[in-house]
Amino acid sequence: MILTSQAQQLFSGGEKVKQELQQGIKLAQEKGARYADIRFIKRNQERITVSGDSITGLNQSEDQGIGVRVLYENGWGFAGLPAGSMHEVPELLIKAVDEAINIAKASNRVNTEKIELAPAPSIEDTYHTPHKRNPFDVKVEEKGQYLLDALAEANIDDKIRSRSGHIRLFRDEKYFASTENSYIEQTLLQTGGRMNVVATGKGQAQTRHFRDHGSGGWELLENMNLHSRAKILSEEAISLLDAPSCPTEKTTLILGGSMVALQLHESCGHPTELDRALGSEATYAGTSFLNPEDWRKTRYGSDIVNIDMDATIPGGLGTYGYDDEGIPAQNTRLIKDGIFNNYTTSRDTAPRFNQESNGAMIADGWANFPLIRMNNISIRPGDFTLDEMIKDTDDGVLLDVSKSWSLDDKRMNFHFGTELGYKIEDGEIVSMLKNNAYSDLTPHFWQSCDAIGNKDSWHVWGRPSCAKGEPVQIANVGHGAAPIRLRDVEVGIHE
Amino acid sequence: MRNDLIKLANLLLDYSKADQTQIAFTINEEAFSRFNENFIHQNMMNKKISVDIKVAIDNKLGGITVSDISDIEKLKNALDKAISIAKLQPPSKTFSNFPILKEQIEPKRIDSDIINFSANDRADTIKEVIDYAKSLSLVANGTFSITKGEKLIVNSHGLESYSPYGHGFFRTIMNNGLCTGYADEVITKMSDFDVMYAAKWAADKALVCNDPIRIKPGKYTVLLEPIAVADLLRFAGMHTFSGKAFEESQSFFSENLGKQVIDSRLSIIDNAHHDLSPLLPFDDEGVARKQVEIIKNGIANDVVYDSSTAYLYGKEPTGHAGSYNFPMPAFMMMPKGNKSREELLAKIDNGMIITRFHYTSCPEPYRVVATGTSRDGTLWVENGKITKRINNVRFTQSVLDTFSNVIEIGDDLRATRDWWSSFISLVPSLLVNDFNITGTTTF
Repeated sequence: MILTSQAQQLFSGGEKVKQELQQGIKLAQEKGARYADIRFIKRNQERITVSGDSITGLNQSEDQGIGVRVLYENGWGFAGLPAGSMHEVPELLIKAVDEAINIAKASNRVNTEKIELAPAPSIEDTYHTPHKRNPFDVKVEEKGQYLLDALAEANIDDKIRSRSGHIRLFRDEKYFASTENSYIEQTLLQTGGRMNVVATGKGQAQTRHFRDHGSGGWELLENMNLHSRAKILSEEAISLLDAPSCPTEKTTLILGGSMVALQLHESCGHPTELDRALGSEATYAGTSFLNPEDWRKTRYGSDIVNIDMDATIPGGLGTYGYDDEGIPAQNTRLIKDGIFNNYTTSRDTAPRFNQESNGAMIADGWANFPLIRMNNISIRPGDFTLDEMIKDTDDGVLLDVSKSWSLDDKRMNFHFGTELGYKIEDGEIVSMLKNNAYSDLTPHFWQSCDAIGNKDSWHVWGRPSCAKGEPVQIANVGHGAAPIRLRDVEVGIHE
Repeated sequence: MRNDLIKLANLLLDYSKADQTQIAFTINEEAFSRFNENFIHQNMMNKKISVDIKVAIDNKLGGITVSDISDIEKLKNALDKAISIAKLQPPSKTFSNFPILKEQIEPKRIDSDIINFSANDRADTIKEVIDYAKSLSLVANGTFSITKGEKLIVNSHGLESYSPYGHGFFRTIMNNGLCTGYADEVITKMSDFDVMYAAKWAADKALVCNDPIRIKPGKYTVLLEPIAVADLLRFAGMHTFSGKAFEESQSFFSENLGKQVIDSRLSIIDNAHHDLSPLLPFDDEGVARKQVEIIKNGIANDVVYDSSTAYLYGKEPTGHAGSYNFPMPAFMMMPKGNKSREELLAKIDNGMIITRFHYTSCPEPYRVVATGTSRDGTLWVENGKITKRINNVRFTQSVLDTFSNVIEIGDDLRATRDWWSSFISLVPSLLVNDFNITGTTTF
């Protein structure tokens, strides 16, 4: 385990917290819980927003609290309560355990079948996000000026109606104890940002944006080259005003890496979540076309498509040491040589397949019930450079950067809009395109993949905005992606 | 807790050395019971406290959010930190001032039956639904939530807005293994909530499951039920009716105010004070929510403002600051029509019913071109009768065009959430022609 001295300084856990949480676990057991876990989390976030030449918002937030989850007979119960300070925790734990047990008993008014839990190791460990420079220690002036300087580069023409952006910093200190005799301390540190420009004219508005996030320190933002990207964003937004619309046709589609990241998220990350496949998220997020009977049988993509869920990728926004059931972070091959190979699981769903959990049960802070969440969903790189893909394409389009996304409730039929588009003819880009979109059925889409970008074009994109569950929880996830090429895909907005 | 919060707020306002100070206290409690495969798989409650402090010094802004109200010294420290943050910044070119007190706002009246609804009550209600599903060999899935709390917003201009809140939301999907049906209800008065009505509505749709067929892309006559209408309206709410989009030339209204933009029988009024609205009577800045006539008889009439957008462009705030960084409508309402469901169906020779959509998006915000797929009850209608289920469909069309192609308006006005839960709106069914179906799913 990598543990920098700065990370060690960030962390302020100790024997006291451990004793309190273990006392809470003991109390839950005394009250009849056959399983219990307790999380004490301190969350700090900072967001600096910029519009034009001004900082328009600088907001810091901190909150902490405890979340107690119990399994009593055949029912789950969860209670999350805010804790002003560590001193309040002993009293709050008594309240929260009582509340969780009462709620679990209410579940038993309906439930009759026994809930099985996959085995979990007994672990005592710590994990801290490696980083070079703690972004919360960087002076606010420096952070704000960094983004202002970058956006100043975007001020190239009167057609640029809006320039805005933000920097987002996130830190969770997590303390976990469970009836499996586990006690785990983690510090997760994330840094990232976004820039938007809008060009207007001729009765239209064209937007370009760049965003990325990762697990790590301020160095991540410095490596994003925001300054050089900002001017390009504006140039592209202005060019889009005069660009022709994307044709509506079935053609060869090359997707840029940023868009592949979203495609992986929506059409692989979500449908391989086992709780969705079992229907637990049906009313809101939906279910999955990957039915339990399809496991290790169904062809998902072409032979060259291999997709991993890997919570151990250095710098990935979905990287952690342990999930919220105390299961170690690990790499699971979801799609193997094009075949649907594994679901993302939890301790109470994995037994359906006689499997053990692959460590992807995560809650958004202390106040929420853990859910199965993707962490870093990544396509394994291939051999092509982007130039080689374009040169190897007689007729098609290159689309990149998400603008809109829409999928059916099984993640089968999808329609994605993109900000950027280019027409390809005879192996060359011949024009820019606006109002870009593509749509397909997920298996056809991935089965038509005949080229994947190489390692040099592969990047782990961070997306801190994955919504799931009721109440809605937000997860921070990563996607290792490279450009890909697909054949016979519908493109354009079919109005 | 009102008096305790006001006391804390006044102590902080007295202590503040900023030119302007705004403090928002929120004490929120949520309870969710979720069920699937005829059992409760998640059951929870949480309580969250949030104190959102914003200050301005020489037009420099600083903000901090903390979650502890047990110690006034900690809150004073947070306020000092917000001031320190503000001092670090250049003056804002877009900020003028926090809202000026205009009127005292009456707190919302809350149904005590909702506030006292327990985990056992939720479980017993869910059991009724599950038992009914089992009696029809269906599987029930759904969510029953209760949200309650109180909010106080004060600022150094004398604004003091307080209200409790409390509402519920129930929804269920009935599933026969091949086909699903859906129903939901926004609950503002527990005695009006009829869970079995919802369960039966969802079950009836799930049971229309006779060899679903795939239809071809094309333009169809479609009965959009209220949930589907609300989902389409959402995009106009975000991209067209926002004062910020309007002022920055990014709204279709920017060049079309005063012009006919949808069918003349349709009007859209934003009124968060309606009995069926669970929303607070003021916005996230404490400004009283005004009734805004956004579309009047099909003509683009007005947009909504938060204080920063209003002051920047010389307009009056309408009480529409929200959690997003731009103003948006709160509780959009369309007037109901006079056609019963049977009368609407009778107007369809060949067409479909769409119950609701999933994961809609707006690839072209200016013209409000939206896309999405239907779910949980896409039914084929021939000669006024529901004849069969069809596979879910994808539509791609401008919402403004859809609302211009209205044949008839239903009398079934109801409060409903869009899929994303961006808004709760009060809308009727709409029977529309030339609804653009651009694809189908495999189920």
